[in-house]
Amino acid sequence: MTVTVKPVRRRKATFLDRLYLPAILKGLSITFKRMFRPKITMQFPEERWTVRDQYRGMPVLVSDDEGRPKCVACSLCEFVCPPKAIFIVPEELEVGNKVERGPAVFDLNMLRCIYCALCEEACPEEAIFMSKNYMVWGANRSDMLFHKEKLYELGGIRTEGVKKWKDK
Amino acid sequence: MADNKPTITIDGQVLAYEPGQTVIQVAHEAGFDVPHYCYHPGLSIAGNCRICMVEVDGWPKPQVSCKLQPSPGMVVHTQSALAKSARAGTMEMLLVNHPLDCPICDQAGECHLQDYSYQLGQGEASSTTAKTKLPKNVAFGEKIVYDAERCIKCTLCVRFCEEITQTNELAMSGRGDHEIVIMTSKGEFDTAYSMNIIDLCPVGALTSRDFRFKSRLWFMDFTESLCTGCARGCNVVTGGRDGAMLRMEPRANAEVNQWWLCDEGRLDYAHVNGADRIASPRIKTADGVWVQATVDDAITAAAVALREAGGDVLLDGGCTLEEMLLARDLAKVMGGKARYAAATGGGDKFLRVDERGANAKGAEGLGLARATKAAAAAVVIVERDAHVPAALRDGAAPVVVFATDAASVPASARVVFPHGSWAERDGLLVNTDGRIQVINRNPAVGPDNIPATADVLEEILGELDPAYDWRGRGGLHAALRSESAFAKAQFPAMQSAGVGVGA
Ligand code: SF4
Ligand code: SF4
Ligand code: FES
Repeated sequence: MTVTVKPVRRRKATFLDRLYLPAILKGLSITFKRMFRPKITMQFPEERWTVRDQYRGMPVLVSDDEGRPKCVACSLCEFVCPPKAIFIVPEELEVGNKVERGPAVFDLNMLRCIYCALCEEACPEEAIFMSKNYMVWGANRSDMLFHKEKLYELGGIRTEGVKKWKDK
Repeated sequence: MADNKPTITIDGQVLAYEPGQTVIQVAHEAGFDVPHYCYHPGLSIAGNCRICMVEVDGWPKPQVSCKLQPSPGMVVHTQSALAKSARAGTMEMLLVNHPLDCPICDQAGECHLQDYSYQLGQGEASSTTAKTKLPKNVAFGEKIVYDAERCIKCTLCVRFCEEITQTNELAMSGRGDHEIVIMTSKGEFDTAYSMNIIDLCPVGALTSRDFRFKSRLWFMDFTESLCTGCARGCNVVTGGRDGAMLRMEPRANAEVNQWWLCDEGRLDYAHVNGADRIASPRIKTADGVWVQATVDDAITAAAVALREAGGDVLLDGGCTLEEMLLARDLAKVMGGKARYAAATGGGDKFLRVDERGANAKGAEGLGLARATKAAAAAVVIVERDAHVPAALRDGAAPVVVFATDAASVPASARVVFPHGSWAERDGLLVNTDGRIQVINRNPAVGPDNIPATADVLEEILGELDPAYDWRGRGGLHAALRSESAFAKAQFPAMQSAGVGVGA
């Protein structure tokens, strides 16, 4: 392959350029102008950003308005999750519970999650949602592995959506 | 095609049929995919689900192909607009009261209702009335769970109990949308074949208590293999995930088990998931401490120990033909004999036979004697404790042991190799009728990377006998063919998983 070289001619610095002062003054004028405009920097973490509705934060599990944990451990989210961030062990619920099935273990590995929201899309029970939580952190790896209890705590109650077990 | 046979035309293809066949059978034989729920080749024809409807030229209404007797020259369309709309209508009716609880249903993924719903169904229901409420989570005996809302009333399960086991535990009760399956007896199944109705049920109305909620199908690996619970050698599919065996279901073989499997065999896999599975070779040091070893080191150590000890080989009646042949050769090199041991009892008049050693017939063919009382042996191979009980194992005082479970290793052992359960090994078994069939390894079952017992035996043989030439599977099969007992036998192709024609 032949390489074509195009020489770029540099403009010679004029007298004013070489004087340096005009550029300094220009820069300072911007600084001074900014001082009288409203502040846009936020004092995180005291101040927090309100995210938009379509924002995809960490996935969480929700309970319905009666407080029933909605996940039935169908494992569709586990299947669809591209980075395999979800791990579920289903179990049979106590005798008399008409839902019959729920997760014994529901682990979400936030070191793996890519916030794609496919789990939310796949869930037939509307049990997993992308929350607004963008502050997912941990001091070590195991902190980033979220268990069922924590996920339900973060998800709280969600009143709208599928309620097919209500009158089973 | 024989000229004198009557023919019908299905979707433009002229097909000969045997009198007595129905249209769906002719269509299935020719490879047409006519949907069906209530039709099963092994049971009487009910014709009650109406999903198999086809159009017949000259007939004003669509017909149920599972019940339709062909007449010469009949012209059938399986994919015409009329046939398709008839099936779509049936599908909608079947779903009118369906609870749509696929997320909690174990059948999801192998449910004909789901499959046909994708193919023929529509997203919206025209019915707006509330769905009928019926009993859910009902125990049918100890092994089966019944859900009347999912049931499509095809009566396959009732017909199975009437026609195959003839024990009549089930009956239909009620009418219309309140029709359900009930147990006639005191709530107990007295048949040893009850779990076949789980496989028969085309939907999730009958599910297994044992497999209940264990795993979604699409996470599992399925492998065609055999049941080794007795010497019948029923053809099965093993299902496993993450090292555990989760279930076993029958695979049709008209010559062996038809479509069925006994409950005991189906649930006989506890030892595969045993807590104490041996996952890697171990060697006992001079001061009696067990250390893990590489396969190569263990083979060298085994050869050293066997050169010293010599003597017999005692193996499990569930070992494959390849393993038995190698064991026989190994015993010969060590100046001893190979013997096999297997439990007996528990046979019935249907599938189960008294002989429990899945390859006892193969062992006889190779001229191995049956071990009935304890006698010294240098090598012991044990998968099931029932076959090689503690008395035989300990009495043999072996130095080299191939075992599935650490608990079955006698104290005298100096080298231990992990022995895969039947679900983790490849090889040939000879069933009670002398049919040679194949077991295949399910990659999702058992500890990772355990060496194949046949390979290890061959390596040890090579160490002990400098003149020994590595034969591998092909060589072993050639050697088996030259055995007089198997000279006339047909060997199934390994990948065909046991459809071999008998000896
Ligand atoms: S958002 Fe995507 S990556 Fe994260 S858990 Fe859900 S499916 Fe997995
Ligand atoms: S898809 Fe929904 S119901 Fe199913 S396991 Fe995931 S969160 Fe639970
Ligand atoms: S399969 Fe023909 S009516 Fe059910």
